[in-house]
Amino acid sequence: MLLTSYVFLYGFLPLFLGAYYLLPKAWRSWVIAAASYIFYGWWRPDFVLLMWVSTVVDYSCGKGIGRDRGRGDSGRRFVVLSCISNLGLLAYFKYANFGIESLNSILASMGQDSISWTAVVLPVGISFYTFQTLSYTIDVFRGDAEPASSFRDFACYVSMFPQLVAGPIVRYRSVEGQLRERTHTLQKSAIGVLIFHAGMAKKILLADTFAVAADAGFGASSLSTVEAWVAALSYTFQIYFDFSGYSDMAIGLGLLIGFQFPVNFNRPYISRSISEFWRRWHISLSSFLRDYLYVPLGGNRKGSVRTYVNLALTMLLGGLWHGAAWTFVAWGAYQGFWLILERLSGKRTLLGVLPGFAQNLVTFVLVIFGWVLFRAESMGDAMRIFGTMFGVSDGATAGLFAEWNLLQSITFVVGPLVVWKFRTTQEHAASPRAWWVATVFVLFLVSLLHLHRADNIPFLYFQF
Amino acid sequence: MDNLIQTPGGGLGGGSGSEGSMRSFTRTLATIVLVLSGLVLVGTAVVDCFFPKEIGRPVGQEARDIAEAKRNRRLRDGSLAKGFETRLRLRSRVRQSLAPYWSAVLLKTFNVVPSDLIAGKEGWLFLRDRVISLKSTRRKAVVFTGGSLAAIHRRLGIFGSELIIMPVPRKSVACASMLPDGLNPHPEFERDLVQELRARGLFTIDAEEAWEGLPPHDRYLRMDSHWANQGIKSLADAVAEIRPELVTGELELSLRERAIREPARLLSFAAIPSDHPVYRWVIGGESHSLSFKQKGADNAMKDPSSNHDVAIVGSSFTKNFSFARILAVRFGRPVYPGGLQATPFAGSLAGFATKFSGIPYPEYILYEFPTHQGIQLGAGNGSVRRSLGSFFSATSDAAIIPVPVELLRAANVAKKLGRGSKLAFASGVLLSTGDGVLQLRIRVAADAKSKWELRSTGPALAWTSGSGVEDVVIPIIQTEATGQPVRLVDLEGIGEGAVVEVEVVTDVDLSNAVELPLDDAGPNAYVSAAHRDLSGPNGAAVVQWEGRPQAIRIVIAGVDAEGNTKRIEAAFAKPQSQVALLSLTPLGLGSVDSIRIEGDMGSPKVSLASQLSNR
Repeated sequence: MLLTSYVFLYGFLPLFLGAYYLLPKAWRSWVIAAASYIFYGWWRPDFVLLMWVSTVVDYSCGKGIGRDRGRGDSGRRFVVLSCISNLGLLAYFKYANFGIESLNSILASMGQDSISWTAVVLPVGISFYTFQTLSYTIDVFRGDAEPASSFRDFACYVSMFPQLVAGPIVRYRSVEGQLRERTHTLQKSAIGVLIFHAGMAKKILLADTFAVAADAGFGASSLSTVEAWVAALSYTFQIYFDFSGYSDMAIGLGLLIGFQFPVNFNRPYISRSISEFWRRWHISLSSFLRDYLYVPLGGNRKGSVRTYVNLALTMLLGGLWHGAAWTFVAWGAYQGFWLILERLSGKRTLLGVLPGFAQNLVTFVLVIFGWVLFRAESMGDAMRIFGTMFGVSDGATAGLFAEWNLLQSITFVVGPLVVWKFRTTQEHAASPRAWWVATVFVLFLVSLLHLHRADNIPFLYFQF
Repeated sequence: MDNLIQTPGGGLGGGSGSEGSMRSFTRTLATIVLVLSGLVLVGTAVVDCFFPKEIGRPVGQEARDIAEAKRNRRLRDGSLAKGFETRLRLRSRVRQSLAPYWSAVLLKTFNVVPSDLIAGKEGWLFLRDRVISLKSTRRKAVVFTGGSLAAIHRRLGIFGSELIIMPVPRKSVACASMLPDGLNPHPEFERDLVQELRARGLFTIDAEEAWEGLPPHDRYLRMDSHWANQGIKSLADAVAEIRPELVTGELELSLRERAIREPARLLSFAAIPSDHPVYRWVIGGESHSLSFKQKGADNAMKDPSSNHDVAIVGSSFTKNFSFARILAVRFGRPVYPGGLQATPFAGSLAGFATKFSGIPYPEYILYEFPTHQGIQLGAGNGSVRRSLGSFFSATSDAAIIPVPVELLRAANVAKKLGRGSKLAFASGVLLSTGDGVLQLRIRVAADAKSKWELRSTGPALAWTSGSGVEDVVIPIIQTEATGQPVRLVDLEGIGEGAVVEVEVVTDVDLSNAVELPLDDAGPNAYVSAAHRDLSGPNGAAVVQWEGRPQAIRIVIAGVDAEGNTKRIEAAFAKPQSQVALLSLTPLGLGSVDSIRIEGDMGSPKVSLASQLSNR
């Protein structure tokens, strides 16, 4: 189910909130879990089974670690089991097609027969919930979290629909207390609604408008140099407003049911280095990769060479997490390259000698190049677009500007303003001003009108 | 307030704490927003749940969504849920009431339209799929349309009718100056199409020529997909000028104009239905509806049994825009109005054939079709395949004659078919110019209805055969004269015990064919240089040979009635049968100057046969 769909906004959400607040307090976590299963299974009921498997296995692993620890054992076998089950699910559903396709192209180049294979359908959100459950067993194993005392609370944690399919990645230890006891106040709900509205406006009014030029540009067989830049820039803004919009909606919905989810974006495009960018972009993922991959690999504790290797490996896997394609691997490698270069420069930032705005500008351009890799259908397409951006063009245009409208022009003005001049939604919501409250509500109404008229464009991060 | 939510750089706070950082006014405002938001969502849900509104006439994306919802209803793959969502959304009273206002604001203020449309200059609207198409589809469309119309022309010829074709150029081509700058509708498609039809000997009136000098608003309507009255009148004038024999002046007819709101059906693609109050605000312009001043003139024209000499058959362009009336006034004679709206290419011809079943066909059949229908044919659109098949199925009482089995080497077959099975004529068996001169008489004897498709290199033709024993005569339409395979496909399976008989037939009179003398023209080459005037429009050259040559090449040179030199060529590699039929339609009522045959074929024979007639 999409958070911006008719059935969610006018059916699921009112019914869920009604049930949540009207039923006894003790049932609330069950209400969340049950509603989440409906939400998740709405389009593919069979995929709920996967989530149940993940839930049962990791709950049992957590308990097992607790029991082992009681007996003076480390509980490592349960962590291994959890890793195998979660990463196994992820490997099969997300990477099997990619693996077989890559193998077949190698076999074909050697003149061998290809392996016949029925493509596996990727369950929405599997990357997010497997990481969440994995983080739980690892935290319990490390002693950073207590084993879940209630299956109900754990099922609620794994399935929680607001952030289920596109994050933020919520760690068990950060919501452990809230799963047991959380407060519900009118003011909390009001702020939640405002954050939800702001996120929805970002998605519907900004991201979806930027998507028009991005889709046309990346889908075109030839572009002019200006078109290539406009397409890349459009996607840069689209992915930010799409993903941060979803995160806002998730955080807002969380507040409506008493939960505080972590901040996922902190104005990433104002960064003055790629390192800073990664502290501001998809924060829940970058901190997950740091805590559960980079640090266990040795982090920066085993000498400079290992640090660079660890950084590269972390970013490569981070890229691959986003999708099973060479473009994502290249994107991860590209990010890793800049992180290593910044670290090699010996300063906090490679661009330190430049004035602040220039540092921001150069970083932003580097980020745009990264998004070209991320969005392109293939490495060949990415290289073609890079070439066009640098003036290697056959002169043919995609007609990107033929249908350019005033709304797109306005969005191209408002988008950068929101990115560079406005505080984050959470900062606004923390100390809201009347004008912001009123504006957000009007934008929500406009978004609803827009949704009534237009088709629903799924969130970009649904595919990851 | 800060500890209610996490802020960047801040820690994750508990769920309770001070809430005092929000000013009381803002707190009140936020609470009002919370309540209002709830009311908006719940109110919409209640209204839509208890007072849903019927879905009007869905178009564009809505129509596709509904079709998808009807097609797939599986729980497992989510299509059931998606269908439910579609129904819920489209039946929403709130949506149907409010969305048009927002759509109108977006259109008028920002020139923003849904993806089915392209917003042009000065408020002009275009359907996207009639502007942008694939090059390969357009190329196919030209050949498929030409082949289909040539076969239709042949079929109507048997009934004594002449087909006069009027392709109406797409709005994006006729009014290209109103498209956004930089969009190329590829007008060469229309030019190529007219050229292809004329090369095939089909009489074609080019609307582009008729509209020369007319401004865009006189050609097409600004917010509609159809033409403007002045464009229709100009085309009628052009027909009268090019074919003066159509003008008899036997009737004094005149038209009355009544001012109406300018048709703007494209607004429904922009979610602004014509019955919504905002519709008037968006359109503004006015047009005129036309009716006869003479009482009863319409009724007299509409009766198929009143021995019409002229019929106009066409799409909604004809049906909804008084084209028949305008032609009748211009010709001064009754014109049977055979327009059918919402039908694909050849759909109106199928409707016409059904109405005229058992009644003599008019001498002249003017066929109007918007050229985007040709593109749909090129794209392999299923409804076009069915409408083409319906036309030939409805005219299966046309005169035909079997092609001798011995020449085809037993290619005529009768077979029991299993579920989904195919019946194929291999490459090199059915040798013709692929414009319907060679046909298949297909007899299906079955207990239930069955669905069929005849496939070759041209457009596939689909039809439904009723229960019992039913015959249809379906032409073989191919993109080139190379003897490609032909397959008869049983689309759904006709069940046990059903029998299908297929016989290869032709619409030329083989029994009265006139043999032409052939002279040797070098090794494995023969020439007939006898000049022959053609007595009818759809004759054929019949070439026969012995043995099994490796390849055969046939070239017919001649001139059409206008004196233009024409060549008809065919090349068959590894022919299996011993006869080839080459349609002489491109020569019309002109003459054959020479026929050259090349191939190791013993002593070939060539003869000319005229078309059979039902009259």
